[in-house]
Amino acid sequence: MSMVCNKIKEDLDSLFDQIVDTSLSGADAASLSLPAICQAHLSHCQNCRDYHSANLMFFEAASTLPTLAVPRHEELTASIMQAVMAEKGSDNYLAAQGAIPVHAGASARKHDLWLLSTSCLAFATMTAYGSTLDESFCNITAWLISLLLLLALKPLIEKATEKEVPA
Amino acid sequence: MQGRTEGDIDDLAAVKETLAGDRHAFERLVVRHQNLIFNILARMVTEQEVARDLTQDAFLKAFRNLRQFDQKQYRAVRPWLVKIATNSALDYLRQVKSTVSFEQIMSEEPYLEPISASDTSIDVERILFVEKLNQALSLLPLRYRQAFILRYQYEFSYDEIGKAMQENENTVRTLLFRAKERLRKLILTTGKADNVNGL
Ligand SMILES: [Zn+2]
Repeated sequence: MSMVCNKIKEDLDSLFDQIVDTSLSGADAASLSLPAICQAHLSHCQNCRDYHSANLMFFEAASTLPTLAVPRHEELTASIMQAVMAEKGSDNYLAAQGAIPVHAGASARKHDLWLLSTSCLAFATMTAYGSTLDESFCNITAWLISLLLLLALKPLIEKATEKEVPA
Repeated sequence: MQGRTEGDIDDLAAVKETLAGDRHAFERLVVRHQNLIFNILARMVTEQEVARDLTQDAFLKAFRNLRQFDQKQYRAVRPWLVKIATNSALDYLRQVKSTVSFEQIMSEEPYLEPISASDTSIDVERILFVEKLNQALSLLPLRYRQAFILRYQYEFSYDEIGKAMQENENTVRTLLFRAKERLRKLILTTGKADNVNGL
């Protein structure tokens, strides 16, 4: 193959690219004609003529290549969306990236459990110490002790409630 | 480089809406692209049921990694989805062919059955060529096949193919050039065989 043929093939390739690209924008591919220098070369070079016609045939044939119909395509869409809806943690992931707020339901349940634990512990402490203390100090002391206890146990309670509530 | 189509613009809107918490918006991406993704995967793995499963897998991965979709880098969602699907298919092929190296998967010629042409009716030349091309494509190495399909069947730009295949545009051009050369040889060989057979 001569250097001239290589150069002509490069030109034919870029013309061919224009044909493919312009078909995307709906322009008439046929309006793109070969430069005179290419035409002159093709008139006497069988090799380049074959190359060019193969290119055109490929493009024409490729655009009519059979496409497969997705088997049970509506089922596939539904199945993908079901999986998307069932994805756990993705909202938390997106929220962590600042995209959306943390899942409201889970957050509320976690808060409720925290309040419940707090109240139970406070009540238990008050009952245990209430009988041994002077009545005027009863409430204050009991609540102070329960508060300190809760602060100490907070990480453990949070860990426990995280396990109960699905993320 | 082509401008964004209406579909491209709605894809970007669907991504934003999904990221804002409306998971139903993701369905628009699925409906618009599942056929393309399935067909590209079917060309890669050849078994339709596997391609279907991989399509689901690819969309789920896309959903999980939606935040990583970089609009500036990809411009449109389509090449990004194709990239995810391609990676899923390659993972699958690596698993099923664990005894074969990755380089072999990328360069091997999957089916070696001969191309046959049995229809001899007169106006069938063009259909026959499409059929020959279809079969010759299955003989191409995976990367050549994928580049060819994306460019000439689905009319992706070089830029989009580069993003989908994680290659630069020059490599894409080389892949396409080699793909066409191989196809030409394969089809020519068949043509000669057909002539011998009296076609
Ligand atoms: Zn020439």
